Amino acid sequence: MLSFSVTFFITVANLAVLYLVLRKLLWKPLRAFMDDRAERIRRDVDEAASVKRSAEEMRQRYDDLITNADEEAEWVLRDAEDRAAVRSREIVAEAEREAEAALRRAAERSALEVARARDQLAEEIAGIAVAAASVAARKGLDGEAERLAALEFIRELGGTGERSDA
Amino acid sequence: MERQASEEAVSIGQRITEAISIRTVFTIRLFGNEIPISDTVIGSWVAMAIIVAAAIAVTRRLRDVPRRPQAIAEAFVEFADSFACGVMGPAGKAYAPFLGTLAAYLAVANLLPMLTPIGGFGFEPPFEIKPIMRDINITAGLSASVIAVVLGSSIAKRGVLGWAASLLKPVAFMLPFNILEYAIRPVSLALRLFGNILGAFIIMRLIEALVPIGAPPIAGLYFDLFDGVMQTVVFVYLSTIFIGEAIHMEEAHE
Repeated sequence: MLSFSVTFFITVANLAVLYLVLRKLLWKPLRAFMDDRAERIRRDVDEAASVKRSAEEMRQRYDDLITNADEEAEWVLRDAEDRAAVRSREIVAEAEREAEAALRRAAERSALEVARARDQLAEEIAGIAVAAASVAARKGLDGEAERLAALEFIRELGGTGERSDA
Repeated sequence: MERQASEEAVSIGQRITEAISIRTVFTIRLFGNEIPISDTVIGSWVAMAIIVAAAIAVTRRLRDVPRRPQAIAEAFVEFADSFACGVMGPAGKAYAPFLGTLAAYLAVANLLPMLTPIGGFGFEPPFEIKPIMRDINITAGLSASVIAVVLGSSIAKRGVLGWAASLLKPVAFMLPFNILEYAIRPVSLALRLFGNILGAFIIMRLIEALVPIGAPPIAGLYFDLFDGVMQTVVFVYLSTIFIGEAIHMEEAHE
């Protein structure tokens, strides 16, 4: 029990062997595995953080877009209204201008017609005058005879002469 | 009556003496020498085999989400690492496997005897596991290994000359005491472990002989379980402190 024996050296050797075996079989693989796992977890966490950050940025951008979209829509609407108002004013002005031009043209044309009618009338009156003069020259003109002559003249002109009677 | 009692005491004494004696189970011939293999050596081989088998079983298939054996092994390795680093600083990581090996070996060897069935009333236990630390050659071998590591770590840190110079610190007068420390520390380590385990073993044998019913399991909680764990902790803790001191001697003295 208390005497020295070779067990002392065997124990030293045993411990050395057990140390070498455990270092190779337990410490090395477990440490490597745990370090690797920790590294992977750290990487995953970093990646998740960066993904979250970018997602948040994206959401912020969309929020901004949606907020701006209301303003933009309002602006577009107002712009469209403004433009429509301008255009309608232009259209009305143009229509007025065209109507004025048409009126002017009609007036000019009617004035021309009147002038032409007046010339024609004058011509016809001149013809009538000439015809009347020729009728008068053919007959002596008295009361009844003048009336009849006039009627004849009118008939010659193509009328009926009945209206004068009526 | 008195005579019967004294005879009984003698027989208990004989049984205990027999129990703590170390038998040579067989001998090995090596380089012409007969090497006796004692039952304590076989016991330490059994403890080693259990530890190595557990290490192989645990590390065979490592999973990201560990199951219980792997979780225990991870906790053990991490605890050894952080314990060694806590005492010695970052340099402790290199010594953690040694300290962990020491702890596993001591714990298994000290707790294994708890599996022995208790005899009495004519019942003879079919097998018996005796604590191997009752052999002072085992505890001396362990403490000598520890002191070798202490010495090695000091020399690795500052070289042979640096180590020799460190014996003269803090003053040259301390030289004999510093040398003595290298002898006293392993002796105290070996005797503490040997004495505690042997004492607990003898007390348990006495209790089993005198009160075979009821008392042994309760007493065993203290003398086998608590004492076994406690001696493991004390031995490993002191070893860690000795190695840590050897590494940080200069800082401590400056």
